[in-house]
Amino acid sequence: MAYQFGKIRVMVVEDNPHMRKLLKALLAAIGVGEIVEATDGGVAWMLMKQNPVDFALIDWEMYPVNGLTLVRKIRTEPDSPNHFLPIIMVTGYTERERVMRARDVGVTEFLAKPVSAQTLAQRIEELIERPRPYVRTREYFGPCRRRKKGGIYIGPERRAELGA
Amino acid sequence: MTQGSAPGGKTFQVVNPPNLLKKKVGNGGFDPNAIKRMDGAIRELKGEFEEQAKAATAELSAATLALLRAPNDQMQRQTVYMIAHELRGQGGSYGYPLITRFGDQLCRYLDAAELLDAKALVVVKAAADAIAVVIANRVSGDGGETGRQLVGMLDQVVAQVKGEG
Repeated sequence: MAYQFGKIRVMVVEDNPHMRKLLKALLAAIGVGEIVEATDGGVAWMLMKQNPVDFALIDWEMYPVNGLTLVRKIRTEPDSPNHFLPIIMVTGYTERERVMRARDVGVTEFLAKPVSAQTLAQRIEELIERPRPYVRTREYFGPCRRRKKGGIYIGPERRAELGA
Repeated sequence: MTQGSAPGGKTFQVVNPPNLLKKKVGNGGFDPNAIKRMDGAIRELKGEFEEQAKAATAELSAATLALLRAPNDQMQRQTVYMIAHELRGQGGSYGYPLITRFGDQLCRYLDAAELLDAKALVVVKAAADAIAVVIANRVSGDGGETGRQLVGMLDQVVAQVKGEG
């Protein structure tokens, strides 16, 4: 039997109304039981504390609270509703430096806009089938950033540089 | 939870939280029809996107003209950037990869340019115009000959400006 999404609640955090509508339509098409929408990170934080969600699609550029700030809060705030929340950052920013920044605040998966049915389904499948272990160092808490061989992590071995 | 130490004696912890998502959705992967339904959802929103993109193009043209009049106006520059950023993020979803391409060129150009002099503004205007042509004429896919001409025109403008820089 295929995945059954009817029992899960997913949050879409996106300020552009049309983009938000598209993401909601895509989630509804696969049968997601409940879709919660928020227009910025502040609204999202409030809503997810009231009703925890199973995963979230989060845009980067939003006002007043952007996506990176929201991800950082989810991973590190003591009153976070779920420090391990699977997060797909959906953004038009694809420059390497931006991808690294998203990864360094604890994004689980990165989905470049424009989205397609195929690419969104692939990222959701990653969350389900290949969840990352979480790593805590003195300066980072979030999904392991070195899971993918030859993946997006290209840089110094910072786990060796951080830590207690 | 496991603990380890990296070279230099610094420590880290690794936690493997339970996979609650998989517990809820089960096994078996995506229903083959799910992707078709998602594609159908995108098709249903295409007309709405085209209308919205048309309005966004008008805003982009107005913001670009305002920027031509006041090149140091950071607010106008940000307005141009954000409209192009939203368009590049959506065009490709609806079969308009050239909107994404030209929007991306415009954003990257603005990212790289410190000051907008007259030459730089020629690129901004050319990119905004190319996006407007794509939307007004619904130039989908690679756009055939029209698409090739637009791509060539914008690449040439960028190359000329860089060459003169």
